[in-house]
Amino acid sequence: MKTNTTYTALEVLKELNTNFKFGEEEYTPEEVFGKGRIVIAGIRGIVDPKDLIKIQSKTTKLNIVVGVKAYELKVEADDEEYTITEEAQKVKEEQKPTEIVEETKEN
Amino acid sequence: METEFTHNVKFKVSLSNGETLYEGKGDYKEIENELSPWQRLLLYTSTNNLEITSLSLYTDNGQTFNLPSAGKNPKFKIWGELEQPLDYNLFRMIAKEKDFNNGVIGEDVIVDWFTGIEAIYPTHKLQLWINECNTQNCWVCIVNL
Repeated sequence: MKTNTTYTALEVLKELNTNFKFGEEEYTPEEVFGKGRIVIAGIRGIVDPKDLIKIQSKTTKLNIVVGVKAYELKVEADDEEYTITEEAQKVKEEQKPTEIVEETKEN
Repeated sequence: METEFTHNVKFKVSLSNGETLYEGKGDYKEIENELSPWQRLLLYTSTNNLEITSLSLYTDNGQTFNLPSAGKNPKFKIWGELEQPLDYNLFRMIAKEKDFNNGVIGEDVIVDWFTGIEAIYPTHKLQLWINECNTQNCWVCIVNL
């Protein structure tokens, strides 16, 4: 993970290279959203794998909590240019409002 | 510690190890230049692999405002039969404006001051907002995620 870069929440969890347990059930990173508590960099209520996480400059580590387990991801400094991953860019494109191509007709 | 913003509305939280903790008491008093009581609680839960199983707000005159519980045996039994929150959060909001009287700009005046708590579900958040200036007033919001 690098500073000054935007990732999706799914990409962040995949970096941990592990599955996650809630009680007796085990989930892959793709399955875990909406099953229990996920906190990334202090942001609570991460329930959507497409939530966007921007790692700010000067960050050295990312604290992540899934269920009751806490994890730490090391972050490399890369502040020269802002970047966004391909997956995060796709999510941003999906969020753009639809362009209206027909004018409303008057009654 | 008395400040301009001494809260009338404080949190009460239950954890997955059975502890119940109160803002303003024990380790969760406001201390100048330190993490807020809520931040200290979050640090405590992540360091000790604990989850919040219930969150409510209380006032010193005995009012309580409760979110649905995620515990195994909630006091309010109906909650045990309903969908339980994944997580909880606390927030505070304040708005001030300048007092303006007869063309004279005066002191800052608090116009809005809320303490809020939210229960987080897979598709939405349930929020409780309490007015710090008049704790008789409370609002509920559902926010789609």
